[in-house]
Amino acid sequence: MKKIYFFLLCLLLFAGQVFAQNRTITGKVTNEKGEPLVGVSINALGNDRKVIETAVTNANGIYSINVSEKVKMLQFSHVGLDEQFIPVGNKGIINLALSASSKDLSEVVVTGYGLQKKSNSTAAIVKVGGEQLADKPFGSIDQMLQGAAAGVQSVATTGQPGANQQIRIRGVGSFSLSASQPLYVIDGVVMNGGDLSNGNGGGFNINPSTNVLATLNADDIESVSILKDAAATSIYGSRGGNGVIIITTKSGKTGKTQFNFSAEYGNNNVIAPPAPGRALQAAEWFTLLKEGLVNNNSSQTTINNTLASYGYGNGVDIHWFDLVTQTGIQNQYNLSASGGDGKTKYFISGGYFRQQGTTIGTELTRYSGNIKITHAATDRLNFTTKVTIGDVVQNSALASSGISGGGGYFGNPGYVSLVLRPTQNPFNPDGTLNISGNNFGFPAHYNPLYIAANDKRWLKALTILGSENIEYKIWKSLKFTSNLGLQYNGNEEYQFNNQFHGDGSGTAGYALSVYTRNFLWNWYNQFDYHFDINKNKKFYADVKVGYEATRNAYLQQQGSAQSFPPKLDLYSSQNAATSTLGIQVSSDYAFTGAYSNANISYDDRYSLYGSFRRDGSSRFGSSNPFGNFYSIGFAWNVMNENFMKNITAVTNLKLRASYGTNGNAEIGNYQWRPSYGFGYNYNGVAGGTFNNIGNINLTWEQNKQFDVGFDLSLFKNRINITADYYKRKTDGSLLNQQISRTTGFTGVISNLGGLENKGIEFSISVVPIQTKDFSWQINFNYAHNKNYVSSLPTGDQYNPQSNTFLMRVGKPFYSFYTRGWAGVDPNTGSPLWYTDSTKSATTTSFASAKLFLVGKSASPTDFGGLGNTFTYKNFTLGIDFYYNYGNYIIDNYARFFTDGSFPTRGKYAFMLNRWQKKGDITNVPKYIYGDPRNGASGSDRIIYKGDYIRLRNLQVGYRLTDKNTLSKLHLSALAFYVRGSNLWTKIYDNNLTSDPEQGVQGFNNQSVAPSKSVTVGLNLTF
Amino acid sequence: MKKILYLIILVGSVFLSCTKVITNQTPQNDIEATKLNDPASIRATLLGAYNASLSGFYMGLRYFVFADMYADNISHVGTFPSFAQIFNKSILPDNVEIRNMWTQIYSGINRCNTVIAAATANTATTFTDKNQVIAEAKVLRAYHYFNLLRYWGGNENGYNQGPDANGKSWGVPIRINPTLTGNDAAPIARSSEDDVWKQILADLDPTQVIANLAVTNSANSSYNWRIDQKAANALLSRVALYRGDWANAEAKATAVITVAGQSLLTNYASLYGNIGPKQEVIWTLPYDPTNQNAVAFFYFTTRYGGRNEISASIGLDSAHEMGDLRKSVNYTTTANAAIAPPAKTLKYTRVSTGDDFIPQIRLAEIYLIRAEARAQQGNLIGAATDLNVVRNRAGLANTLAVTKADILTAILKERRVELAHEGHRFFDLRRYKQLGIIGINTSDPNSAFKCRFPIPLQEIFNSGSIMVQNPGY
Repeated sequence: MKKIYFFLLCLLLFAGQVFAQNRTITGKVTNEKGEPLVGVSINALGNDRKVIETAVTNANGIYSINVSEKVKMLQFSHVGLDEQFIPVGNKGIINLALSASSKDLSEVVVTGYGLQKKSNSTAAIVKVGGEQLADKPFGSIDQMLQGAAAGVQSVATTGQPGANQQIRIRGVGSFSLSASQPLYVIDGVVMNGGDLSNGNGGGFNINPSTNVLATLNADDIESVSILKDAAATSIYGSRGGNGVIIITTKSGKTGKTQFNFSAEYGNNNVIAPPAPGRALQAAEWFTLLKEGLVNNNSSQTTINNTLASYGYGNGVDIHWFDLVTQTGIQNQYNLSASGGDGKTKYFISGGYFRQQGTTIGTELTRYSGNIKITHAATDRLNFTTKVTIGDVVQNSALASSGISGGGGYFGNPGYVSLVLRPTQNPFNPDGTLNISGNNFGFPAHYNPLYIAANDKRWLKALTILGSENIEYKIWKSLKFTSNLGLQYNGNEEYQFNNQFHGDGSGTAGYALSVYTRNFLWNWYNQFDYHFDINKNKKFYADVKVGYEATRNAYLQQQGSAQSFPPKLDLYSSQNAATSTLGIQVSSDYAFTGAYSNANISYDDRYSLYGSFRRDGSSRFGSSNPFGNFYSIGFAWNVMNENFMKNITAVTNLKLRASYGTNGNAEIGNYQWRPSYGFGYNYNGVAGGTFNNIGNINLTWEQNKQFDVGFDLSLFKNRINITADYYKRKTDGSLLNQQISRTTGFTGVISNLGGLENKGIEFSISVVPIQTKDFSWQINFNYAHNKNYVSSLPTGDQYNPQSNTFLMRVGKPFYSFYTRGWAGVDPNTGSPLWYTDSTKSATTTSFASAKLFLVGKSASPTDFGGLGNTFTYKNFTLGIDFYYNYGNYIIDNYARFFTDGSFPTRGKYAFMLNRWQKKGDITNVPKYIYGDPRNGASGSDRIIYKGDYIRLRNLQVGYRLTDKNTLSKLHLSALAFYVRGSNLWTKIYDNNLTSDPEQGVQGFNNQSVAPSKSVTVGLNLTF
Repeated sequence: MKKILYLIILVGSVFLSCTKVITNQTPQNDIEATKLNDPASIRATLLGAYNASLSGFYMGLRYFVFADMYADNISHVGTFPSFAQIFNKSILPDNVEIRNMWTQIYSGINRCNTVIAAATANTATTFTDKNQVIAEAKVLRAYHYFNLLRYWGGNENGYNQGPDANGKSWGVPIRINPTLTGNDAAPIARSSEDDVWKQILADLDPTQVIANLAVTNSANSSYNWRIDQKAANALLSRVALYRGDWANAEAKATAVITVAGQSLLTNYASLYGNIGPKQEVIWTLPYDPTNQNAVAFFYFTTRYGGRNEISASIGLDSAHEMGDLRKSVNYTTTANAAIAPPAKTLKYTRVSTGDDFIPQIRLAEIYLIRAEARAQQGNLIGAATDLNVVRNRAGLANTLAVTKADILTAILKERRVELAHEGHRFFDLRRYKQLGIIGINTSDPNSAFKCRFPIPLQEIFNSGSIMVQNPGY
């Protein structure tokens, strides 16, 4: 019966269409220069501006629209252009020119759970457009955010392709390393970000660093919005405490199908360490060895024997750094199609990306595919379906993670390139790889060439992101949205240590395979209600109410085997004789939240914003799983006040202020549970113990943020300035409070202590020159952040992430705690330390020197980016710098390459500056063979300034605009470019031994060296 | 109005499904702590308590290696600065090895406390072995406190020697109740050395504790992996020896030696290489594929699949008399190249499987304990007899020592080679007041402090200074 009614209804509607008296209006829409505008929307409006019919302009700016008698006027609109209303009258052709909007009132910003008119927004949100992300020689978009937005610190820990990037928005706000990462949201779905492979758990990792974002193709991204203040993030309540990054993928655009093809090809070269950090070559190394033996009072016989045993005079001089590095291939190809009619729009793409690292054995390959279809079933009902698939193969170098250390592994190419002697020969006389165990071979550290050739260490990751979105307009002013998002992430990791040389030689080969799967679903249902408080539509409220649930299921399977057949190419563990491990581990979490916000605007002048969210999580104690989070914000569009009307220089001025709270839940899934666990076996019988004290009262940490700022545009947007002051305070921080170990435990997870960050952010874009042929645009951003520990439960305590740092109230979170290096005694060449923090006396005894906060922190105080874009006719030149100031980095493995404690290892070049005779003024002590004085560890001698400026991007592009040529080629656009990335780096510490970019903790763990790349690219649209 | 009603109904229906989502998130390898209430779980907890000793931070490597490395049996040849500090006797309070060892021993103590508390509270009639379970946990706890005292307590003259030169007594904090919630975690101060001894002796009480143990507790196994009466008596004998309670040391040693079926293995070398035979090894820590140790890994060079962190010292090599059959076991040469690199030991060689058993108490040690106790009590003949049992097995002739002093010296020398790589040397030198041999001058306060290890710095921080550091650090 229902079907018949429906059929009749359709028939009626159809009939209505047929009998209406229609005519067609056509025309052409251009810009001020007379060039056709594509994609302008045209609405045919009836009484009360009711939309009756819609159309868009085609590639030539032509449109055609059916209008009935009810249609009174046409509305022409396009983002970035001034909207126009033209009464139809009896006209058959309406041509018009739209001019660039000076106020950009129609511009929208991406916010939590939707879009908002930018002019009404009270929040600090930065948008990075897709054009800034596309076709970049970086494996993941988080790497591309470096320098792109004020207050967003994006730091690499390693040059490993596909590695996790550390992002800190407005400083470090949580005690745990992973919790300080922002929340990632892709197309409305709160996803699992970061490192989802085995590397997530610390300890020994097959792949030291992986990144789920590396499975995402940057060319599929429309924009990235960074939500910084409480007014923006509180709607994400629970997990927005350290900022939110919303990634919006591309959607289809109405019009004829447009294909876009881009190709990039080039190569990656290593950024060599600064001169002091290079390795000594044979002659220099022997000079040092000999001197060390003399200083050790060795007999001439011993000296001669020792020199001979390490190959003195045999002519071997290996440049290890050159051998473990390579020129890597960098290429990518992307093809997309986008189009649609009034009802259905689609975007389809496929991509291939390959990046070979600069260290042997490192590589990332990605295949990606993406499809997004939006369909308007009726005027009221819209569907969007999206599936994004990314498949990544990552080959990693042995253990070079910035987080869990492991830099000292005997097969880590970065480490052994320094630690191996220049006289250890990687090749036998016949050219094969040398794995012998004598002093000229590899008795301790391994031949990295053999390891790279024969060991395996890979990740094969598959990520599928799917979402289904339904929007239904219940009434004109009330919209219901239901969005179901899925994230599947499967990580297959495999490690094979060969049976002949290296870590697997003792077990006749060793293989470990780890499969890690995360499946997440996230479902939110939401109502959006637009309410006009008075009839003239100048005073209105936008209200949002929703409910969200998320659940993640984690599974890991591990299996290991040893005793392999003596064939290197049979590395699969099915060939091994002995199985040594086979376990499965699973762990789940869930979140649920009810949220709502309202934005009340009056006359585009005043906006008042408020949000509230109540969140629950399985990660918190049974008595306290829920938390409440709120924010309020206010914006004043000063520009729209009458008194500003005559001030023509100012095109936009908005003042903003907000305050709010949000939380953080990035702790272990069951950390709150007092638990009795198994796996504490004895003699092959299952044993158990209390393994977690837990805390049933555990609850959310509260991040309270105040923000005040303004947006100012001058001279028709030739100058745009955004500035913010913020202060954010984390209270009741989730801290694994260290307790006396006599309790049998090391810590209790608690809501204790606090962190505070305050600072300013400033961005400015200026177009100093704009002529017909030439324009110059400058984008500059700057952030200053002061980070410190604001409260601790008891006195000083070690930083929960590392004992390298000590937490003290009022001091930065990452404050180095070590001995004070006082240089070298010019009379004796002996290392000197300050006895204590007063630095009033020195000592030659390491053990007598006290540890203290040496006044150095790993967090930068100032950082940002400077970009210049020059456009001359069809050419563009882009020059982007990133700068970073005020932090320090520590050379964790320096003791092996510095001084004489490990005299038979390779040495840093700066060792040539050692003290040699009385009166020498130097920072390098007398070189003594077997030096027991600890000169190169445990003091701030090995802590260096991390300040630097890097030429992030240098790009020359050419865009073909000649229409005749383009049409002959059957193209609508054609562009070429040549790009250099990271070509130049300026450092400010003359003693620095490594690249200055070493993760947020500033640990130089001898990881894969960063790369600079030169690429050429082509971009076609047809 | 109707519209608003619809709206309310719609919104309401969405929120109804709210709180269910976050409940029922249960881990699969843990149970709630309150569920430790049945005899089977308590027995499993006892095994979990044994498990604490297996750790590489404790008896699985570091505890016994350091006793030889801080003395003169083992050399540090590798790269860990934390090992180098111990080898050079310049330990800093933030030394990570010291901290981990301390942590692991106290973890063992807490596990014992958990067993004792849970078993004591359990009244199930099916819990027939309740007293035995409690007794095993107590002996294990005594063992842990004894091990703590050996490194962190006592004074420059050894153990149970009263206060030090400054009138201070150095014990360790005593916890005998389990840590179940954050409220139990308040820091506590160190007890006096004497109080720690009292605690140890209470947990080894012959009638209250040892009598409740099984006579033989590893009947179905080819090695002694659980504590029984002879293991507890052996431990008590060692404790008495450290305390200078010679009569008791002798009596308990005799109690062990006279247990039927116990004798020294004919071949010293066959004591090692996987399991420790029941006949001589009174208590051993068993290792298997899931519980591996890294002892051989730390000794062996990379060519043999190890990391070459430690070696047998040349001094240990030359401490062997001519013809000593133990020499090649304690100090390998190129002749052993098929099994081990030079300057290592044949006691721990299973580098790929990590399942060398680690002996805790052997009958040979008990003979040497009795020899020492007898000598101290003037029974020089008896002392020489016991000493010769050990010497003869090693292919050596009877001792030539006749005076008390000479016999005691001979016993110390014998202990060095017989118990090499098993973690006795430093403690023996301390007991013998012979720390000068390893460069610690007990009459110089700037050197004497090295007779103890530092309390981990973290412990001082986290206790709000309730915990007092050992002097000198």
